[in-house]
This record gives sequence, structure tokens and C-alpha cells, in this order.
Amino acid sequence: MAADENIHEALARLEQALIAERRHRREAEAMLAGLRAIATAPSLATTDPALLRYLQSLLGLAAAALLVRDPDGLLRERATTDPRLAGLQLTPGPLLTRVLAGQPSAIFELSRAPELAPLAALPDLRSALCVGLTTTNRAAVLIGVHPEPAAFSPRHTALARSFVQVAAPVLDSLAAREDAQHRRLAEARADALERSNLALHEQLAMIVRQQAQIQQLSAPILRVWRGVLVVPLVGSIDDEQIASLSERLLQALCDDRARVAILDLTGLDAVDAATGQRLHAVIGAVRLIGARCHITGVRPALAAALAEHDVRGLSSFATLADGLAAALAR
Amino acid sequence: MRAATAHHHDHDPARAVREAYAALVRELGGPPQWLFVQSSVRHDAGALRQALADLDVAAVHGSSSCLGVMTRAGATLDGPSLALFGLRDGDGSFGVGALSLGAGASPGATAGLALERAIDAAGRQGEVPALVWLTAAPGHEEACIAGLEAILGPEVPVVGGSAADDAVAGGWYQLTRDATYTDAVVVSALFPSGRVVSAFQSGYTPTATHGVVTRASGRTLIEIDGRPAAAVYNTWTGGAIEGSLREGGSVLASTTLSPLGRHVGEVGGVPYYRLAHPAAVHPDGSIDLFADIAEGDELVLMAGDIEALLSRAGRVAADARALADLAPDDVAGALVIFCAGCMLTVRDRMDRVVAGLDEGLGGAPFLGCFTFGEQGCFVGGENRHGNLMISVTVFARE
Repeated sequence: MAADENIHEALARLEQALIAERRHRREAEAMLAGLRAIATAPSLATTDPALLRYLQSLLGLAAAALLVRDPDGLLRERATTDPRLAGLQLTPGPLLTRVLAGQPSAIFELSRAPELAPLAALPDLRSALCVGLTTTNRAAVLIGVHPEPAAFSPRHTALARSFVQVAAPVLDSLAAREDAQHRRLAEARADALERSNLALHEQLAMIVRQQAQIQQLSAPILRVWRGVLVVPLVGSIDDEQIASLSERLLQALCDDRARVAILDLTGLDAVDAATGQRLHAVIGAVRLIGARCHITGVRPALAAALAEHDVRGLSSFATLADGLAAALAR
Repeated sequence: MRAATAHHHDHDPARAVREAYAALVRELGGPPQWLFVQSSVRHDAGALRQALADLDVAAVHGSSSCLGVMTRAGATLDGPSLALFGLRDGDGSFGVGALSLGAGASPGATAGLALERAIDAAGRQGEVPALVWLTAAPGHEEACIAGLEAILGPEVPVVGGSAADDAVAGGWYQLTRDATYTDAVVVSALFPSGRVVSAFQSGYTPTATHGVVTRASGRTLIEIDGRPAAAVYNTWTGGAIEGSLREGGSVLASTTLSPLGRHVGEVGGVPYYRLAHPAAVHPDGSIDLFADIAEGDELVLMAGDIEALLSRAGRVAADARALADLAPDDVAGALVIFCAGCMLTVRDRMDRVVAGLDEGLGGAPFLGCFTFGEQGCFVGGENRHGNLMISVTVFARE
């Protein structure tokens, strides 16, 4: 009799081992398919939806969402298979903290789990499966839901735990790869920015140098005779150029002990009241250091502009030649 | 996770609890998070509970066991005996809930409520435990299992044993840290950090003899194939209860090796059965069982022998360890539910049973109790109540 019982048990044990082996193989193949999907994904962002779809099928989830912990500790929905779960936010308490630490948990009735109250408030959801999917660069939780109560059991949590054990290194590797890629991109961008800044600085310096040259060229001070300086003004002239001209001219008058400065205005482009005022200020400054100032080539518009100021004692000549002759004659 | 057992045979329950618990704490390196208590009915339940209330452990689940208890140290079946099984698992959670089955609600609803209290006491509101440990007064175990499954679904293992006394005289009790009961359902929700795996077997071999229940009421089998059940059973067994047919009376001892089996499922074509142990015969020809029976149930006469009873527990223990894929060193400890009827049949040779368990569990500590009904999860995943069954629940270190 005992022998019969032993044979019966041995047969049952053998069949049980075969069934277990087939189940393990099915699960291993399913896991392999999932791993292949996530291992070949170009980034974590593209992995998340694929991971959700795969786990939905493996664990029999009616819908699923991936929640990632943000810097303030809140778990926020990052990807989902169901619009009802979009924007889901959960505050981790003891349950989700355990899940994040690697202990999956099945919830038989959502309304009885205080931490999952936002899920319980959604229509047609009764039970849930919570699985930690934390990698080196982010803390994340998969929330799977079902419309039936008690849809998940220790079998589901064991299967989830097995999957996470094999998937975690793959996800970590993907995260590390993505981190390295981000780092390389950031470094390349920083290099490019630095090179661009350097080029900009060089361009700015060149522009400043060119501006100075232009200012000098637009109003050169020519020593045409002992004691006589000529300044031909060309093009338009702004405040900065006038200030520069005034400074250089006064310095040259002092250095050369010149007695006459001739401002030749024949080449001036645009002349308005403001230009007249500026020129008048230069003429006044020349006089203050004891020199005389002749202006030549005054056109009607400038004459009108200068006439708005005090022009008494101002020596004006039609041409530069006339102005030179007058200066040399004195 | 660590597990340890301790036992004590002092007549004073307070001293027995105190000294056994001190030994348990020493072995565990600190107080346990879950304490399972088994004692013979010679210990007063109230005095035991009072002693347990002084311990620094909140989750206490206990009941009485037929004649005594067993651990690695052996089976103690004479005099008062007490054994403790403790789980020390800082990363796990454990809670106990208990309610009297006579409080008015149905047994199923009462068991469900006790379960919810246990889960809440574990601080795991809404979460599915890895295993539900059940102790009930004999009588409504099927309904209790149904009540637990109504909440958790059918896939969570429900394992345990019915409280027992020494003479099927209603002297059994159940206890927690807070109360003692004679008619309660006590439920523990176990969330251990390591794996927990249970094996549940009847062991007996099906014979070619079978019939259909044509009349039954609760746990009383009235007719098989339209004839008085006692007469049919007596014929099937070649006169095992001949002496009780006319006057009636207990037939527990004479039917232990010939229980009635009901098909539960099969593994790859090999069927497995839950057993019903004929307990008493009535002069009207009906038979009382330790399990519910229903009209239409197909019965198979099962057969076993002493040698099989002696070696079975060790094989179930080895199966549990194999199911969990655990090396001997990976087993933290185990709980063994052993049918009181089986124990009474091999009472003088329980050392063989203990040795088999010790070998099957690779030397890990275990606590065994002798019950008037066994609840467990079959290999196909079905939670059932049966008689003359054995379950071994193994807790892994990780």
C-alpha cells in the first residue's frame, strides 16, 4: 500500500515538475521578449511605453501607468496605456516606499489602500499591482490596475519580482548609456558655445578697432602748415565722433602750438540742427584754448543750422583754399 | 527572516510560556514579529492568554492541539505541553484578527472580517498577503475559506488546522494576545520578506471503489447510491465499522486508513483528492464526517497503511522545500499541520514522523500540531478543507 502511495506521489511529482518547467519556460520566454524590447530601445523615454505594454501582457493588467519620482518626492505619471491614468500623482507612504525599495505589492481593493486614493476615485478600477522599476538615475513605480477586485495574487508579485530582477540590470545599463550620451551632448554643446563666445569676442574687438579707425578716418587732423591744422569732415558725424574729434583736435593744437584750425565741411553728408550744435561746440572749444577756427565749404543747410547759434566772430570761407589762404595771410 | 521554535512541559502555563518564550527570543536574537502558539488542552486557555499578553509581541495566533505538540525535539503527547514558533522579520509585516463564529454573521463573513482586521493590524491596508494562516473551531472551515477567498480571490494560499482537543469533546480553544475563544476563527495575514511555500497532501491511494452521495446534510453523510451510508461504507471496507452499525458510535480509529476521497483536480492526468474522515456512525445508518459533504459529490474509497502514514510527513516536507527550490540552509523554519486522526493511529511511532520531517526540512526548526481538520492549498492552487491531510509550510530565510 505504501508502495502504491509512493508511486502515485512520484508520478504526481514528476508531472508537477514538468508543468512547473513548462510554466517557467513560458515565463522565461515572455521575459526574454520584454528584455529584448527594452534592451534595443534607443532611450528610456521610448522604453517606457514599450515596457508598459509588455508588462500589461505579462501580468494581466487591464491598464498600466509608469510614475516617476520628482525632486519634491511626488510620483508623477510619465507614461500610460490608459487616458484615465494620465496625470496621475501619488504621494509615497509606507506602501509605495516599500514598492520603490523593490517589494512588489498586490492590492485587493483600492478603496482600502489610503495611499492609492487617487486611483480609487477613478471609475471602474478595483484592484492594483504596484511594482518598483527604480534604476540608478530615477525612482519609478509601475501601477497596474484591474476592474475586478482581488485580480492580483502572490503569483503576480512573484512574477513581477522575477522580471524586475532580470530587467533591472538592463534598465540600469540603458539609463547609464543615456546618461553618458547626455553628458557627451552637454560637453559638445559647452565646447561649441565656448568656441562661439570666443569668436564673438574676437569679432567685437575687431569692430571696436575698426570703429576707432573709422572715426579717425572720418575726421583726420592734417598739419598743412606750421601753426595751421586742417580737419576735413566726411560723411555723417555723430556725437561720439564729434567728442573724439574735439579731444584729438584740442590735443593737436596744444601739441603743435597751432594758431589756426580749419574745419572743412565740404564732404559732410547730412547736416541737421544737432550737427550744427555739435560743430558749434567744437569751434567754441578751439577758441577757448586761444586758437582761431575757420570753417570752409559750408553748404546752405549747415549755414542755416549754424545760424541758430552765436556765429559772431566765426570765420567762414567758401572753399578750403580760401580758408588756407586766410590762415596763411595772418 | 529568522524562525525558531521552543517548547515547555511545565504544568504551570504562565511558567511554560515565560520560559519557552525566553528560549525563543534567545534563539531568534530578539522578539518575534509573529508568534504561533500550540498547546494541549491540559493547559488552561485563559491562563495561557494572560501569560502571552505580557510578552512583547503583538501578533499572537494560537489554538489547542490534540494530545500535544511536536518540534525537532520530538512529539510530546502526554501531559500538558506547549510549543511556540516565532518569526523574526523586521522587513516583514504580520497581523492577527479573530472573531467568534457564533456572533450572528455567517461563518464566511466572520472569517472575512477577521481577515480584514488581520491585514489592518499588519499595517498593510488593502494589500494581498503572501499567505493566510487559519485556525477555526471545527465545523465551518469550508465557509471560512470561502469567506477569505471572497476578499482575496482564490489564488492566495490559505493554510491552517482546526483547533482540537483530546477526545472530540468540544474542549478545544483558539487564542490571540487579547482574547480566548472556543468557537472562533483566528486569521493571520503574513507578509514575510522572504518566500513562503506550502505543500498540502492527502497521500492516500484511490481504490476502484466509488459512489455518489444521494443524501447529505452539512457534515452528515446519509446515503450513498441510494443506500444508508454506513452500510455502504462497511461493505466497501470489508467490515471496518461492522461493530458500530447497529448501536452507532465513534469510528475514528477504525476508519483512519480508509477515508472517503473527493476529486479536487489533477496534475498532468494524475488526480489528487481531499479526504473526509468518518468520525461517528448513527443507528439510522448515517455517518458524521469532519468535512462538509453535498449531494452529488462523487466519493472514492481511499486506502493507506501505517508505513505510509509514518513516512508521509517527511515526503510532504521535502515537497514543500522542492516547491520553494530551497537548499536545506535556506529554510528558516516550517509549520506542520498533521491530522490528529493520523497521529492517533501512529501515536507510538511519532519519532519516525519527527525524523522524517527533520530530514525533509534539512534540520530547520519546525512546529507541528495535531488538528481536527486541515486547510491547505493543493498543487493546482485550490484552497480546501479536508481530513487526514498533512501540510508543511516552509519559510525561506530570504
